Formats: sequence, structure tokens, C-alpha cells
Amino acid sequence: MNLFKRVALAIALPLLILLGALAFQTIGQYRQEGENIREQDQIRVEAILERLDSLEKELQKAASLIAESKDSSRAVDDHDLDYLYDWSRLFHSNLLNRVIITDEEGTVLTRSYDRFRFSDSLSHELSIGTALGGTSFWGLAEVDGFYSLAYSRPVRLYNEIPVGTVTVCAGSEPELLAYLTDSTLIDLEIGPSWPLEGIHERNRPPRAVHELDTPFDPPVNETDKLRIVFYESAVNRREIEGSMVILLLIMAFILLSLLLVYRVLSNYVRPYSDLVDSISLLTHKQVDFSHIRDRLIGVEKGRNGEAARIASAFSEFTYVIEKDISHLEDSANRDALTGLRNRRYALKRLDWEYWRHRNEKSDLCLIMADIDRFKLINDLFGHPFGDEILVMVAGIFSRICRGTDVTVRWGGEEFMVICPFTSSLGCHILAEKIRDTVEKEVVPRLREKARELGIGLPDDASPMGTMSLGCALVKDHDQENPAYEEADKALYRAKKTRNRVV
Amino acid sequence: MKKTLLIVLILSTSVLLAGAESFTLATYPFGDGDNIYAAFSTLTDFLSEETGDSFRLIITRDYEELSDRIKDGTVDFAWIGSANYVKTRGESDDAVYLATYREWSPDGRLIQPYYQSVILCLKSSPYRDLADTEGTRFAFTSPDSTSGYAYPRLILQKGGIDPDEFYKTLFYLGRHPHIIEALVAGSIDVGACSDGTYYNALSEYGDIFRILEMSDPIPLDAVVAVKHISSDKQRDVRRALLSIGTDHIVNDSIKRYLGWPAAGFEEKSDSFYDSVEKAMALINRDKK
Repeated sequence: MNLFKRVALAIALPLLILLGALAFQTIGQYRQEGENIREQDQIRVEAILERLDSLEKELQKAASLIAESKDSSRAVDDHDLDYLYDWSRLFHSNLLNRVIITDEEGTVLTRSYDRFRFSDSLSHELSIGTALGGTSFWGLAEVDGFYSLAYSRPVRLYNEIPVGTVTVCAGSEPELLAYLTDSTLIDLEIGPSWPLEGIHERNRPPRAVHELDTPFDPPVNETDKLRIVFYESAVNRREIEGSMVILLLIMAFILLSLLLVYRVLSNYVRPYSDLVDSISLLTHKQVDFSHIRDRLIGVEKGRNGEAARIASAFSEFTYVIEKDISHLEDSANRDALTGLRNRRYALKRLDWEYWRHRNEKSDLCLIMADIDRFKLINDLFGHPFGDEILVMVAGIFSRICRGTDVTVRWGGEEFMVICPFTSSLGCHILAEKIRDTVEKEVVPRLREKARELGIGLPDDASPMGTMSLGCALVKDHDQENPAYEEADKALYRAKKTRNRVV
Repeated sequence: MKKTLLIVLILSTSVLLAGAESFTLATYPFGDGDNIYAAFSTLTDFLSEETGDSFRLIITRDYEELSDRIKDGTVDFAWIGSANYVKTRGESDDAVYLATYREWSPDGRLIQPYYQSVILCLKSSPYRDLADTEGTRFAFTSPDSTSGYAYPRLILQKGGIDPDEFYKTLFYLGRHPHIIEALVAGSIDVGACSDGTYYNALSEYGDIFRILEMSDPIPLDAVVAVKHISSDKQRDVRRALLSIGTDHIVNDSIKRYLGWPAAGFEEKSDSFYDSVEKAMALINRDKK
């Protein structure tokens, strides 16, 4: 793990753990809040149901007092509206805000809330119609145009003869809703459509809507549901929203911190980390200098000026090192006198060329060459001139051989040419060209030198300074039977007569 | 000597104080209770002043209670409607006639102890006479009311109409102004009340009503004493009532709070109310 990752991990891990803890805390808080709300809702629903039960008893009591009074039942029978109105007003209140008494045909005799509106028929209405049928009604119903919790019952003269009905209602108005929902912090809506217009218009959606299973008898219409609509109280909502906002802000802050840390680390730590990585890779020779320099380009172009300068210097340093190493490698593989490749290089190159020859099925030839009677040249003209001849021959090799050929000073006055992609005939042609050129250039030089020094060349000096060459088409090559042995054997045969190619 | 004079003085004061009695004057609820109190407090004050006794006003719940309390002797004097008086008179001799209330005629030229009953509908309705009103909704005030029940019923009877059969529904609204309110609200089509109520309604609602029929003159309310009251006290109260002139403060108070064109009292004979008795007998016979 590199420096950048270590530092990033050391800083980010605690932040990530904190972030996770906060998220866990938030989710937990939400769950707990949900549990609390459900429990409170249940308590509130029960409170409302109890109040409904209490309200039913109150409505029933009022209706019974009117219906069971001898005087009032007689007043119903006599259509004595003055008396009935006074009775209805006795039970009229803000909550029980409608008392309606009808005769046995459903004709209204009195309304507690509108003294002089009577004589119309309400027999078609569910509650009064039920009471006219001889049974009591308790439930939610539209009574005289108002949705109400209503209790209706028959009025019987002498508790026997039906003479009319009495209906006591708590209209679905703010007073009723306030009575049912007092201290519950919730809103109740009653009616066939939701939301019921004009009662509780809200500018925010409800949290939940519960439909009450009320013990209404007979059951209410499917469309006439008693619903409890829960809204978040403003205080609770502000508190929850406040804490959630704080938590979200903290989480956002942590996320931003993580981004900032990443940014800072990328800009100021990562360059050093890349530098260390590059040095490490170089140390372990896993990549070459160009790859290292490619890696360092990113650091050089980064925002960290100091690291960029180090990367730039290090990049320059790799250039120098690479150049020196290249030079050293070249020196190690090259003959210092002639500038040709040396034997050490030739052996490595031969292994590689043989591998290529095997894989590509291409021709590979070798030429082994030797300057004829070179010892005599040294003896007659001295070693410095011998060296000059060696350099001269090396120049001929370099000039004549192709770029793909590898010219080698094999040792002393022996030379080798590795000729890839070359047939045996091509090899012989090349060897003959070398031999011919050496004879035409080196032998005259010897004679010229001899004249300069006033040395008479022995009669058998010729063919001195010429070149014998042995050619071989490589077939096998290994440690036991190196490929150059065949060429060496050919050279040996050529040496018997000298100045010849075999 | 001084002790004797002091004893005589104390005894005479006690006798004088013992002579100032407290009486109740009861009436039926012909309108708003507060207005009745306001209108009749002037009358009770006047009676207290004239007789040296104190009078307290009682408003009964209805006609029937007034009649019952006269018979029970739980009130001392009563302002009672003519039909109720006749009914009470027929049931017992507890009510002793003292005087009859009187009013200015609607044109303001005559003072008379009569009034009339009217059967009304709205001018906007299609009814021109009683025959047109068959199958409609009809309202009386109370079965004990003279002008709100007895005489209207007599009118119908004379027209050959049995209201129980002729009308779709019958209602009893208690007080005379309720007939007007129910007509205006459209809850009834036809109603019966006193002509005084009608004239008051004209000033409140304008000329929107149509009189379908008017009754014969009806003796106005009577003031009676209950039998247990001494004849001297009866005489004192009668004298006080008869002393109320046409422009008396008592009339002003009644006119101001009840809208009645009060013009004092006059003494008629008990037989003055026989016509009412005859009318009610006719009705009762018809009902049977």
C-alpha cells in the first residue's frame, strides 16, 4: 500500500465510520419516531372513540328525555309547536346543535336552530326514516343538509302509539371536531368526500388517514366514513425537521470533508507517493526508465510545485542514468580498438538470433574470418601498425555488411559476421566481397608501409594481410554444439590455402 | 301618660303596616316576556300606588296555567283573554270580573272594548278566499286563544270548513306574532291571529299580507280578581283601573312595549263575554 493510500485511509476511515454512525443514528431516530407516532396515534384514536361513545350517550339521553315525556309526546300529537320548540331549546347547545322533531309522517314540527322553519318533510332522510320505521338510529348521516352524528328515535304517545320522531344531532362542524379532538393534536374530518370542504382546509398534506370502525347502527354508507386525519403538529414537525436538517448538514459536512481530504491528498501527498513508487519500481527493476518518466509526467504537471520540481529533477536524473548505463552497456559489448561488437555481445546476440531463426523459420548464416599471417605483420611492422590493420579491416566490415548484419571482433585477428535472413549463397557472396575488398585495400597498405620503412617483404609474404573466411548455415545451436563451430571449421579449411572463402 | 301614648302609637302603626298587603297580578304569555314585564310594570306600580298595597307581576307558561292558577287561588288578580275567561268562568266561579281592557280603533277615532280575529295569508300566495286554501298548511296560536283559535275556528265553521279535514296540516304556534313569522318564513300558508298582531306586522313587514276573513267583534281581555280577594280590595283595584284615562302613562307603556293601542279600562257586565261563550260552545259542539 503506497503512501497516498495509507494517508487517505488513515484520514478517511474515521470520517467514514462517523458518517456510518450518523446514518445509523438517523435511521434509528426515524424508526423510533415512527414507533412513537404509531403509539400516540393509537392512544388518540382510542380517545376519540371514547368521546364518540360519550357523545352517543349524550345524544341518546337528550332524545329519550324528549321522546319519553308525556307532555312532549302529546305536543307532537297535537302539533303544539310552541311547546316543542321550548323543549328542543332545552337540549340545544354548541355541540348538540340540532334538535328536530317531526310528526308521524316525517313533517318537521320544530327545529331548535330555526324556529319558524317547519312543515317540510324529512321522512326521506336515513336517520328520521329509520325512526319513522320504529327503530332507533345512531350514526353519521346527512340530516337537514348537514353531515352530523345523529341519534333518532320514535316518539310514542303513552309509550305505545307512534306519533313522531325526535332527532338530536351533533353537526360535523368545528365545535364537534374540537370536542372530539381536544388535546389530541390531530384533526378529524367527517364526510363523503375528502377533504371535506370548508371544515379543515390545510395547506399541507396529512401524515395519515384512519377510517374509524364506529359502532353505528345501521352501518353507515360506504361513502360516509368517519375519518381521522393526522397532521404533524407544527411544533413536532419543526423539531424533527430541525434535528434532521442538523444531521443532514453534519453528513454533508463529512462528505465535503472527505472530498476535501481527497483533494488535498491528491494534490500534495499523491505526487510524493508516485515519486516513491517510481523509485521503488526502478529499484526493483520492474519498469524501464521511459515508463518511470511517463509516470513522473503526471507529477510534473500537478499542482504541487515542490513535488513537480523533484519529479522533473528525477526525470532528468533518469535520463542521465539511462544514458550512462547505455554507454556502459555499449562499452561492455564493443571492442575498444575496432569499435565492433565483441565476443561477449556476439554470444548473447547469437542466442537471440538463433531463437528468432527457430521461431520465424528464417535463414541464419555465420561468417568466421581471420586475417592471414597477422602475427607476421605484427612482427614486421610492430603492434601499432597491426592495430591499424585491425581497424582498417573492421572498417571494411562495417562498410560492406548490411545494417541487419552484426559484425564482431571475435578475438585477436578473428572476426565474425552474424547474417540473419541470409541464405548460404548470400553468405558466400558477402564473404567473397569482404575477402576481395580486404585483398584490394589491406595488401597495398602493407606494401606501402613496407616501402616507408624500407622493409623488404619476404617472398612468401603473399598472401599476407589477406583474409580467409568460413561460412556456415546455422542449423543447431546450443552450449554443446555452438553454431559458430561449423563456421570455424570452414575457416580452418580456408586457412589451408589462405585468402579464400569456404 | 307618655307610656300610654307610645303604646297607642305603636299599635296604630302596626295596624297600618298590617293593612298594606302584597298581591300578584298574573297574565298569559302573549308576547316577549321582557316586553310584557316592561309594559305591565307601569300598571302594577300604578295599582300599588293607588291601593297602598304592593303588586307583583306573574307571567304563566300558557293560557291553561293561568286558568289553573286562578282556580287554585295561587294568584290574586289576572289579566285574562276573553276565551280563557269564559272557559275558566264555565269551570268554576273563582274568577270575579273587575273590568275590561279597551283600545283605540285602527283608524284612531273610536275607543272600544273589542278587537277582531283575522285569517291571513301572504299577498304573494294564490289564495283569494278561504275556499282556495284547501289542502294547505294552517296555523292557530293556541286552543285556549280567543282570537288565535276560537273565533277563527268559528269563521271556518260558518264557512262550512272543518279545519281538521280541510287543511293538510294544522299547527299550534303558541303566540300571535309566531303566526306572522311562520307566514313570512313560508312554513305555513294560512294563519289566524288578532287584528292587533296584524297591524303590528304591517309596520314591521309592510303590506305583504292578505286578510282572507275577519271575525265578529271579540270582547277584549278582562281583569279579574280571584275569589279569595276581599270585596274591598276588588273594589279598590276596579276603581284604580277605571281611573286610567286614555292618555294615561299605563296606556303609553303598553303601547310602547306591546304595540297595543291601549285606551284604559271600562266596566262591563259579566254578560259582556257571553258572546264568546256562545262562540266556544258552537265550536265545541262542532268538534264533538
